[in-house]
Amino acid sequence: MRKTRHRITNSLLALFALAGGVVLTQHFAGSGSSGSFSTTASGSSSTPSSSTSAAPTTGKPDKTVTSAAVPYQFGTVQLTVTRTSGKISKIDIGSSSATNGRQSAYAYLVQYAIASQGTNFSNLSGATYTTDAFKQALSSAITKLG
Amino acid sequence: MTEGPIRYTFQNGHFLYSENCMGTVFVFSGQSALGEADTLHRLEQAGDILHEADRTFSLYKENSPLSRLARGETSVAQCPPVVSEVWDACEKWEKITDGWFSAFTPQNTFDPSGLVKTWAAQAAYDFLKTQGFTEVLMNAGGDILLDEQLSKPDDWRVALHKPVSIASAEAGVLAVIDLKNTPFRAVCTSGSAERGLHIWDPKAPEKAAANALAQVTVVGRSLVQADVWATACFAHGPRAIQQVNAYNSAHPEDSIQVVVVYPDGDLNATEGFIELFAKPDSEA
Repeated sequence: MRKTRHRITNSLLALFALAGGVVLTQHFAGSGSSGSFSTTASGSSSTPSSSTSAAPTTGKPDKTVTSAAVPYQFGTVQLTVTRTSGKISKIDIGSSSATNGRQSAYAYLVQYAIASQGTNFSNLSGATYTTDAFKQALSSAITKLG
Repeated sequence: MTEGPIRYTFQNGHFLYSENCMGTVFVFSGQSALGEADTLHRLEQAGDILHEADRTFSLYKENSPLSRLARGETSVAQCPPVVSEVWDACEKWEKITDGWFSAFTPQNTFDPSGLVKTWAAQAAYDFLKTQGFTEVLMNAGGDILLDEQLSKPDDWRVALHKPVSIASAEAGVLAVIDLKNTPFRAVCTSGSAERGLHIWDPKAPEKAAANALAQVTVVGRSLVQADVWATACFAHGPRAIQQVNAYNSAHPEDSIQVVVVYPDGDLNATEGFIELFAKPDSEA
């Protein structure tokens, strides 16, 4: 729950920052909830990708690890992650598959998307909102900040 | 013209300004070497550019030139010159997108709404740039344009909203992309989350509403390019990915990147999009 709430707060703060000059601060970069790849394995006992934690580390040795084949909504995904100089330098898709006839819909996109969610940003792109929706989003963000 | 929640702030040369127009909110931010009042004056002029376009092109205003055109009461030649300019632009984009962007409604009237918002926003943006403002970011109701030079790493990063309304309880970030050191400056999203199924499929019988995707985000080189392709891809549906991959191969200098969200939440994207995802450790 905590993670979800942070995500929501983050996006609304960005909106708020746009309209209200509030400085968007980093809420969870480097924390365990920033969407490291293991997060989406959702309870899988095999989480070797935890070594790719989003926390920037400088002292860790270069390393390549391969995750277990993780089932997800549309198939399975297996990632090979390479860490160089403390940063993720490469992510390869091993034997991944997708069902539902979506030949090119791959789980790794979801993985990347989730991994990126914990990153700072200063703008938010979405379907053209109405003035009312914008105001509502702002007021709910203000309430949450309250 | 209704007032936005917060209209204008100015601090140490950094401005933030919102303009309500076309039923949505346009937000500008950036750096100005001018004083607070002079900066506001320029921002209001940029706002006027939006309102002028709205007066000309709105189909919600009964007596706008476009409404009169749609009713057959006037001709393009009798409309302000910008109408002809936008008409030509629509025809150009219809060709580029293989007909998946079309400004001709199911009733065969001219409706350039899919282009006018960002076309006008670009004009407003360009005006601000001629006023010497730097680090200008624009959020045109969910469509983003970034300045060519931005000093703060955060400013290069744009969050893509989930395919739900920003006002909903499920509002949140789907992903974050980072456009630093890429040829892309614009991020436009089309979807049904805010305004329902409002994009018609120009190739469907009766030009029925497109509904195969929940949301499309296009990362492009210009605002209008990204906006038009977002509309076109939404109309085209899942096969838009293959279309854009082929387009990118044939036109690398105009290439774009697309990520689509299926109604059940799965994602697909063009070849190369993956490189745009922000890296969680990119600030290290």
